[in-house]
Formats: sequence, C-alpha cells, structure tokens
Amino acid sequence: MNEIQLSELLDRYLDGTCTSEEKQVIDNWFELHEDKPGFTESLSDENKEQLKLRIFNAISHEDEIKSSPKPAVRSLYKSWWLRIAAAAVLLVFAKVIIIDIVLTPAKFPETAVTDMVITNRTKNIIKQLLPDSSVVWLSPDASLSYPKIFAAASRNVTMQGECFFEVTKNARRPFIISSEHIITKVWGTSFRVLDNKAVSAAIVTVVTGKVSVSKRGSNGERAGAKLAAGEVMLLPKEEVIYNKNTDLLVASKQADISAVNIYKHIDLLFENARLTEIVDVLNQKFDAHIKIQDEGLNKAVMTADLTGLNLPEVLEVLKASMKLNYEVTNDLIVLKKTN
Amino acid sequence: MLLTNPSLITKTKQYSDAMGDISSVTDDELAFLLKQSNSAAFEKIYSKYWDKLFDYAYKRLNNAELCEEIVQEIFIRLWDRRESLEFTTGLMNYLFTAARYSVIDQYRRQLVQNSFIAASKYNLHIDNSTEERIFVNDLKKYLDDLIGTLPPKCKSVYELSRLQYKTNKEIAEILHISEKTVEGHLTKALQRLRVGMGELLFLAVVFFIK
Repeated sequence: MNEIQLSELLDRYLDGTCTSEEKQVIDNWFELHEDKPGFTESLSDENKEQLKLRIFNAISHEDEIKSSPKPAVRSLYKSWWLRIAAAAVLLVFAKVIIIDIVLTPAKFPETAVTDMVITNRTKNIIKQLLPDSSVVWLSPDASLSYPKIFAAASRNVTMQGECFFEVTKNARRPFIISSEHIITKVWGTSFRVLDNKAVSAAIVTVVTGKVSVSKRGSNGERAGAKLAAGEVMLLPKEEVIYNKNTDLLVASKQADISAVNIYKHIDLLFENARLTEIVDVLNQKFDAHIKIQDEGLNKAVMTADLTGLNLPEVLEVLKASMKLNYEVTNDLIVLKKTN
Repeated sequence: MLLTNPSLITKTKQYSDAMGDISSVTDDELAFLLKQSNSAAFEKIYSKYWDKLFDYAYKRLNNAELCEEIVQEIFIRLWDRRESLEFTTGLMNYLFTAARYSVIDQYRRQLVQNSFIAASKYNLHIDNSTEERIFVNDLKKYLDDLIGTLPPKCKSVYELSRLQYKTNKEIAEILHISEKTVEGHLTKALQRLRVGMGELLFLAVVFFIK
C-alpha cells in the first residue's frame, strides 16, 4: 500500500464509503494506542485547569464571532456555578401514571378532526410515541388522543384508563393531560396519574419531577401553561387524591411509588438463565407480580443483554424470544405459552 | 456485550432526584438540554469530556497543540449544530467518533502534503521523523501486515480492487480468472480481514463500555 492509496482509504473512511471491514481494521488499529500515556493526566491540577479554561475561552470566543446576536450564546459567559444551578433546576424529571377508568364509551370532547386516537384492546402494555418524542405506555383498555402536530403554546392530550407518560422536557411547551376528573400539567419530564371513575377517585403519583394537578373546570384548566390558584403542585414521591364525593384534591407527602416501578429503566444481563430465574429477577427489580402460567415454560432458557429497558420492554423481548405472551390484569402479569 | 460470568448481573439506574446534583445528570439528559440551547448543559459536557477527548487524540498524535485545536473544533461544532444533531448512539460516542475523525483527518492531510511535496519538481526534503509521521507509518505497516496474511490470490484481488480501483472484470482479465472467482476472493479477503481482527475488536468494545 503506497501513501496515495492510504490517503484514499482514509478519505473513504472519513466520508463513510469504505467497507465495514476496512472501517473495523482502522478502528482496531486506533484502539491499539489507547494504553499510551495521555497529555492532560500528566499535568498538575493547576495547569490542567488553565488548559481547560483556555480551550473553553477559545470555544466561547468563536461562538461570539459566529452568532453574537443570539442571547443563548451570550449566556455562556455567565457565572459557571450559576449555570450549573440553573441546569439542576431544569433537569427536574417527573414520572406520573394516570389511571382514569371510565365505564362509558370513549368520548373526547376536545378532539379535533386531525387528532389521533389510540385504544389498547390487547392485554399487553402498548407503547405509543408522540410527535414531540414523548412516550406513553397504555395499560389494557386505556385510550389516548393526541394531535398529529402539537400546538406551539402547549402539548395537549386526552386520556382514559391507565397511562404512564415519559414526557420530553420543553419548558416553553408544557404537557397537559385532560382526563375524566382532573387536569395534569407536566412541568418536568414524566409522570403518573390515576383517575378512576369507578371508585370516584383520581390519584396522581409523582416519582421524580414536578407536576401540577387541578380539577376539571377549575381555574387551573383555563390557565394553560400558567400555574393558577387551586392547582396542587407535586414534587417527587408526593401524591394527590381527588375525591369525587367531597370534590376535593388532597395532597399526601409520602406516596407509595412501588406501582410505577415497572416503568423504571434498568440494565439486565441474562446468561443461559431459565425463565423462572428471569421472573424472580424481574419481580425483584421492578417490584412486579409476574407469574408463569404454563409449566412448560419453566425450563425455557434465554441469554440476553438488556440495557435501559423498562418492564413492558423486557416483556416484549421475552415475547419475541421465548414463544410466550403476557396478560396484564391490574398488578398481576401472567406469562402464557403460545404455539 | 455478554460477560463470561454465568450469574445474573443486574444494574439499576436510579432516577435523578428533583433537585439532584448535576453530576448525576446522564448524557442523554445533557444531550436533550443541549438541543434546547442550554449553555449550562454545554459547559457540563465540556467539563466532563474535554480532557478525555484531548488525551484520546494525544495518544494518536503526540502533539498537544493539534489536540487543543481538535478539542476546540469538536465543541464549536457541537454548539453550532446543537439543534440538528441526533445522538443516535449516545453523546459520548458522538464526541469520541468526532475526535477519531479529526485525528484521521490529520493523518490524511499529512499524507496528501507529503505526496504533493514528493511530486513537486523541487523534491523538497520530507521530514519523516515527526510524531504524526510515526503514526501514519505505523498505520500503513499495520494494514500491509494484515493484507500480507491473506492467501496470495486473495491478496492480489484485494489490492487490485480496493487499492487500485480495478473493476471485477478488469481483475478477471489481469489474473486470468473468472469474474465469479474474483468476487469470491474479494469476499473472502474482506472476511479474513474481519476475522483477523476479532480479538482486537473485542478489546475495543470493552474499552468503549468502560
């Protein structure tokens, strides 16, 4: 291989036109040098900090030249610590499940012609992606209605039954959920609401993050993206219960969040594990109640590396790899053999 | 990546608390905030990765000035394109890939420069002793060694096809074999290169998940 050939190979690497084998060879050669000494690790703390600041100033300077009219860029120069504090506030995450079981046929008064309506008629938990990349998990019999394109001012959805939301953060476009009895606004990122018409109660449980809840028809509903009087603000591990008989929203500081643990994202590694072992681990890790119905499944074995999955996603993996299906009834998840 | 330990290994990712400190913020969350032009997230990403990227480049260039420029460029591009970037394989992967491309681009420049000087009528002295030069030579040797391990016919086909850009038809004529055989040799050559790399690839993956 001569120099021109090598530079042509590197050209192809850079514009992505080399074969995957060639890319691998170059990447492998690249990693051979990983054990060499670095530069910054040889510097004193003081010198390292200086170098860090010098490069950062050069980056900021470059930004100023290129896009000085943008205020977002100028804010790079504000105090380092102030910025970090701001980020900590912005990174509030919320987890809420809404359960709004309604016995009457589905009705979505706010539904426009262009809205998408989805109803989970399976016994599985269904995942639905929204236009803003938020994710909603619908339990059996739950319904969700959302516009094809969210409005600029706020993201409004309507739901019935039990839904778990993982909402993408956008402070300028709050996520507002209307259900039978209550309005839930997401100020953080994801959350759970339980609004149960059958027992005349609605419960919102926040695992992490910030969510506000108001009654249907109150100021809170009209306030849109603003916080109104009569709205209850919930922080992590807090819960609010709406009682239809008394028409009151009552907040509780200590909520039991075990019911939403199935939506935690967890890393799991199974190596030749039997289904019984897998179920034990899942029950423990997700606080779940999973049972194997068919004994024939007990000896099934799986090897899998599951990274960052919640329980519904893990169940989908099991479905795909082990000839089984699952049924969700309230808290109980039953694994059944399929043909 | 499967580990050899047969027992069940589990890791639980905890949710960050509402007012949790910024060190617990995940890369995905930082990437998300970055896309919304959050400069604090940008600074956090810089603090977290600037030295790792610097060292990653330095190990392959041995030139601190160049590495400084590379780190600068990576973060300037990150901020400029923050709204359009998609971190499909994660923020860390994006940053290290960007660093790797910058380093390889340095090698490429060096090679082009050398070829240009060598081709010029002045026949200027080429300094083969610079650090970059050492890396480029090492890469060249690495590739040559690998190609050298291929069976002779395979090797010829690979060189004619991938290095001299001959078509399969041309190669068939040069080597007096059928086009079908050319195809077979080429596939085999590429597979051999991949297999030869198996163990090293494993190490590379381990490094990335560390």
